[in-house]
Amino acid sequence: MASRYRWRQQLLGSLQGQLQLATYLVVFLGFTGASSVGLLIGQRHLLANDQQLARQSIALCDKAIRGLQDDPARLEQELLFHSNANTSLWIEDNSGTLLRPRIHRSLSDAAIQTAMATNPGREPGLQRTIDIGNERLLTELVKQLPDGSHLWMAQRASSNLQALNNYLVLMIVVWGSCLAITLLSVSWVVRRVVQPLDQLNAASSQLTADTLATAKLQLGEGPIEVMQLSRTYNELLERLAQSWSQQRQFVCAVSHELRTPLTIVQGYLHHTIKRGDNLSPNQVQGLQTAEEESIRMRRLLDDLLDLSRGDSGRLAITKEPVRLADQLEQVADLARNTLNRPLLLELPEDRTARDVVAQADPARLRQVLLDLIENAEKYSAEDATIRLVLRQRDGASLIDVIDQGIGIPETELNKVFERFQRGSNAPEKTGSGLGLSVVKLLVEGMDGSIEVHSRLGEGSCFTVVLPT
Amino acid sequence: MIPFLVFCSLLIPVNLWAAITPHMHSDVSMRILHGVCTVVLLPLLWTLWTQRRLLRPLPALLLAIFATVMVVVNSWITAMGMGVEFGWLDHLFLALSEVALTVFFLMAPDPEPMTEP
Repeated sequence: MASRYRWRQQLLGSLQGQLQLATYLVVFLGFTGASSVGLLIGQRHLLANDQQLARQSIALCDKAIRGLQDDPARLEQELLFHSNANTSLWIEDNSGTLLRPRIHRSLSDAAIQTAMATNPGREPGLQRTIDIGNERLLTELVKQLPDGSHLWMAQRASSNLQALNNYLVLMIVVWGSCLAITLLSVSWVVRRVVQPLDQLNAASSQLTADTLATAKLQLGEGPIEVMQLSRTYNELLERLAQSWSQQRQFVCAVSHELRTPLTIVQGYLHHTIKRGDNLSPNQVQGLQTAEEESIRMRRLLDDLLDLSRGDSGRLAITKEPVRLADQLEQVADLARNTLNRPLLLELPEDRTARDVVAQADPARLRQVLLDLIENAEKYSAEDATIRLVLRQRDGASLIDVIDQGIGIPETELNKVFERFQRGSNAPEKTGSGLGLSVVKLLVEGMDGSIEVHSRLGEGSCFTVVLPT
Repeated sequence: MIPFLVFCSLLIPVNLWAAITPHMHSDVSMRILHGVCTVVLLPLLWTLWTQRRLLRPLPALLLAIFATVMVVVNSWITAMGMGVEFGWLDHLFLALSEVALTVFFLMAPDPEPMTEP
């Protein structure tokens, strides 16, 4: 099941995602901090400025209304004179009656009552900030007049704050633009850095032992560090190719040099077992074990030699018309000599199909089939039958080697022909893991192919496909 | 998911501005802001519920309680409109909840793939 957090892997797991996230965080935190602090300080300064202006206005008003308490008409006239659209002045007499000038945009009664409610003790000089609807008001009980009445003032702060609001909108636009430009720039830069790394990754994923000598990473342009990495990668490939070549030469030479003395040892052992008159049964058994091991070792060396020759392109495989039914009969006879179980040979009923001829190397084909039969024997129960089947499909000849063995896990089927690859369910000490890779090499050398179908616990079917 | 998180992160400064300048937004814009901030908290609550077995109990419980309280309170504010006392404080908490939401989705453990019994 795909992870629900694939997006997080892309964001936090990739170089591009990390850089974009870091850029976003820097721009985001910087702007959020700057705009918030700027708004806070700007607002405080505006309020302080409003307070200062209000105090100046009140000082003038106070001087003008001094001694006018007995003349309400002039008092109201002076209050009106010192009030304006943003500043309101009113007097609250001892009975609570308000004397206030009525001008356009003057404060509502509710706002005035709210303003006075913020100073229930009628403490002169006490300033309060109140929010009425969408407006912020700075209110103050200016002073207590000699007759006991109170002079109040309220000033709108919202008009100046509107300018601050406009400033905030401008900042948002600038910030959004900066963020978009920065993210686009970072994406471009990161893509430029990552593209050569993707090429390096693709080249590495396609690298095999066969392409070591020819694989080269060709980068057009990129950062200095990445270009240096590509040069180092190419130098590494050269060293690996050289090392691989030396290893193949070594294996080829060792296999060849060991094969001759081993053949001699095997011959002497065989001769001694056959001709030795005075050998005890234990000695004969020991010599037979030695002979079997020398045969096993020689076959291993043969496999190594074939693989080494295949790698270097010197594997000699001839192709000639071969009647497959004859080959299968020979193979079945040879195998039955060594097998302690039934081997069923199934040839087509149709005479034409039975006489089919394929282009193959007869000796190599026998080697392939014997290897597959030996493989089937290794991984089957002792009395389980092995079937050798010849059939036709789409103009090609198919030879099936079918066993009823332990089978191959489905996840390992695509690796079964790789060198030194053994099934995870294979018993200990069964084979070197080279047999099937040699089989594949030889079949492909005859322009054929090999397929495998298997069910765990039920058996396997190896199919050699040969062109007719 | 990434656009959703970017959107939620943008609500952080917006709530901070709203907390600093409570008189600079209209009633409609304030209702929209509270409503949107409430809606984006719902995926957080749903994820906390569905992944409750994977999360560390105490932080998950605290976050769930905090988010639930914010959803309830702000649903009420969205319905009632402006004039709520200590509205600026609610905006600060909303900014905090958006921070918590973003951090949670960036850091929450990846759910295990479902396997057949």
